[in-house]
Amino acid sequence: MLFNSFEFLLFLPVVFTLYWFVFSQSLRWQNILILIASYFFYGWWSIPFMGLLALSTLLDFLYGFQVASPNRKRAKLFLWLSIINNLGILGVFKYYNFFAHQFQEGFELLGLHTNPVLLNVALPIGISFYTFHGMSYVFDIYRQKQKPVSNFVDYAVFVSFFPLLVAGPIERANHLLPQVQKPRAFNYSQALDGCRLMLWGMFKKVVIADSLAETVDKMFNGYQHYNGLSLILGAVAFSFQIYGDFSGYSDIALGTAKLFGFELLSNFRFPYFSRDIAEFWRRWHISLSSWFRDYLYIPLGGSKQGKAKAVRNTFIIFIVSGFWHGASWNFIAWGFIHAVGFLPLLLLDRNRKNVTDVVAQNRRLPGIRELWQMCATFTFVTLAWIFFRADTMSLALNYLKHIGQSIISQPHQLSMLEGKSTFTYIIPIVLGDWWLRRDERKLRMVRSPVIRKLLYWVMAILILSKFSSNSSFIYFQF
Amino acid sequence: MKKFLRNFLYFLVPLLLLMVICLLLPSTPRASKSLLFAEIKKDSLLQHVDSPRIIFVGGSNLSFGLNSEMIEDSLKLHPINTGVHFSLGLKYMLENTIQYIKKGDLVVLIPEYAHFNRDYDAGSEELFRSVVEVNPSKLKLLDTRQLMHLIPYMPKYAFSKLMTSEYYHVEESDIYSVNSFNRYGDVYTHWNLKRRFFLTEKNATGYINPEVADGIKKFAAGVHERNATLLVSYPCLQDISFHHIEPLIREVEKLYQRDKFTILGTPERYMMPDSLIFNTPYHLLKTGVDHRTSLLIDDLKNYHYWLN
Repeated sequence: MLFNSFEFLLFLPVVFTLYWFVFSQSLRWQNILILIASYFFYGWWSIPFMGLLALSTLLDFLYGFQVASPNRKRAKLFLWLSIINNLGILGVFKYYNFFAHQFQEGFELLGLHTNPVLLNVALPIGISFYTFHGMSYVFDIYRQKQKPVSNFVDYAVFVSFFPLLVAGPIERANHLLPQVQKPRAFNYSQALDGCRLMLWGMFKKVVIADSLAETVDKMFNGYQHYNGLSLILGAVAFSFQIYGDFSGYSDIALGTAKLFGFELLSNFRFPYFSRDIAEFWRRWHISLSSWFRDYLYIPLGGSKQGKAKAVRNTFIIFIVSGFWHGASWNFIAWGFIHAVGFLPLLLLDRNRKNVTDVVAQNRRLPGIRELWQMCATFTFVTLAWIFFRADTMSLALNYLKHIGQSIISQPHQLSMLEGKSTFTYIIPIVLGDWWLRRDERKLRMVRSPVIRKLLYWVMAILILSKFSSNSSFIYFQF
Repeated sequence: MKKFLRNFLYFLVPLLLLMVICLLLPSTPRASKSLLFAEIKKDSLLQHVDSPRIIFVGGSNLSFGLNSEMIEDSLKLHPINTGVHFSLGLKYMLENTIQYIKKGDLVVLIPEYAHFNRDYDAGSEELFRSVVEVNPSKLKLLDTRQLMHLIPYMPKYAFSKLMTSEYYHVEESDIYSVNSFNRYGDVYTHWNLKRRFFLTEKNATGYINPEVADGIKKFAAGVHERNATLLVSYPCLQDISFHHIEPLIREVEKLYQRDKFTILGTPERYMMPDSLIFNTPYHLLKTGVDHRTSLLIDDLKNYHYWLN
């Protein structure tokens, strides 16, 4: 079930009504309702794969008890079982065909012809997210940061809570589980904030991202017919399409969770205002980058075992992060490019600048230096996005080659109208984010309640005038 | 909670009221130029064109892929091209056409391949606009399931009437306009135009929705009840797209053979080289239109020869 679907518009009020009006006096029944609703939400896409979700959930729940064992050898054994189990599920459904093809090509180079058996199975939606939920739970128990949960329903809600089930944010047990386990009372401000977040998220997705998608598809599918400037515009349009799409989804997820009394982890903090790549990764898909930092980078030694190992670990997490997004060389290349961009900051010990403050912290506008830093970072990120968006490595490289070769003129130039309409969609999101950058969780954009309500109505009308049940979210494919 | 629900209703109710008002507003200048309004002309052709008639039923593979004047000259039949838009859905196309079929009509059914693996009663925004804006009397053709599928399109349709782009700088599309059709129902305004960029069809499996097969059989029975004749054939399709969806095409071929329809040609015969394609895998340039029509005329002549 998509957030931007008619079914969700019916589903949400029903669950909300049952949650607060029928089961509000019983925490246990509220959690059971959330669990049933989450499986219904997931099963709307695929009933068979509900079984996989349930199996993954059950196994990690059981592993948790063993990993909490005072016998550290036993604990480590079950930790590895959980890792193998979760990565095994990912490996089979997401990566098997990729490796099969790579082995086939490898053998072809040696002159050996093979015909590997390929799996003709759809990628279960959300698999990259709920397996990471399970692994983080088991890891935290092993590190004694978390106690195993005795109530299976509570744990299952943590793994499969429907707002975050299919595209995150990737929650942590010590953040979400306590909220599941304690009684929740309806909070007016929280619910209102949730509605605002959902509205803004839907606006970014339906009005901004889906409108830019048309230009992006044209550029990437027919790059041979466009000149360099148009292709650059296409890449910029994709930067905002993916941001609008993914941050829009996250905002809808956070907003929906607030309606039920939950606070989820923030996943985006205005990443395109970053002044360097390190800051970008502290602001983009925060739940994933922090997951890799805590469960891969730090266990590998992080930056505490010398520069060489820090560089090695950095490349590992960026490449793995790229690979997490998709079983394809272009995603690995995307991760590698970011690692290369991060490297100078790491070597010069500048990767920990700009950690707490936001650009133009106490000013309305950025300074010249900050503006230059933001533009440079955005340009780098946009060039890397070309590899992310392209279906294959060769398409990405050809796209870049065409930018270089045809920077001036070629047939089928992007019309002025399309150029203008692309910037028409980019400007509101840039202005809106700039306004919110110091206080991203509160969407009180305008002080006057009358103007604020009018703005909300205008946003709702624009959303509904472009609403299409056929448009899915980019991150669903991961 | 009461305050929250009250404020939510204060937000929602005016929106709903505005939506209802917008639904009742007349068509915008942009919408009134849409090719969907060609349905009115095509229904008129179905009502008034004299026998002997040959009626082509399908989507835009017909409107952008036939030269009916060639058919009239070769076969001495009065052709009617009912093709408008794929997204009206096959069920609607068939149920709309059957009411106009008369004794002696030759009906040639050529649906796009993509009709076979989707919901039989699927219909998108175009169907919504067709029954709400173009000809509301067509609502009676829709069953409950179709109506339920169309409800999600209501807000987009309603609120689009508030967009300034619907009223100002409205330029009539060169090819997707109500005035793009000739007296037979063929789109002809693209005949002097060059090829345009388009995406090929995505890969498809060999799944066919059984309801689609049943719907076509029901249509066939209806044609026979009216003492008319039904033939089926294959849509023109770009060669690259053909290979992408070949499993589906084979299943369509098997379906027609299994249900013993009289078939004109083969899928490969109507697979078109890329050089003849206009702006979608199913739409043809003028050279492609004439080539495809020639093939169809030959197949129809062979059928007539076999019949005699």
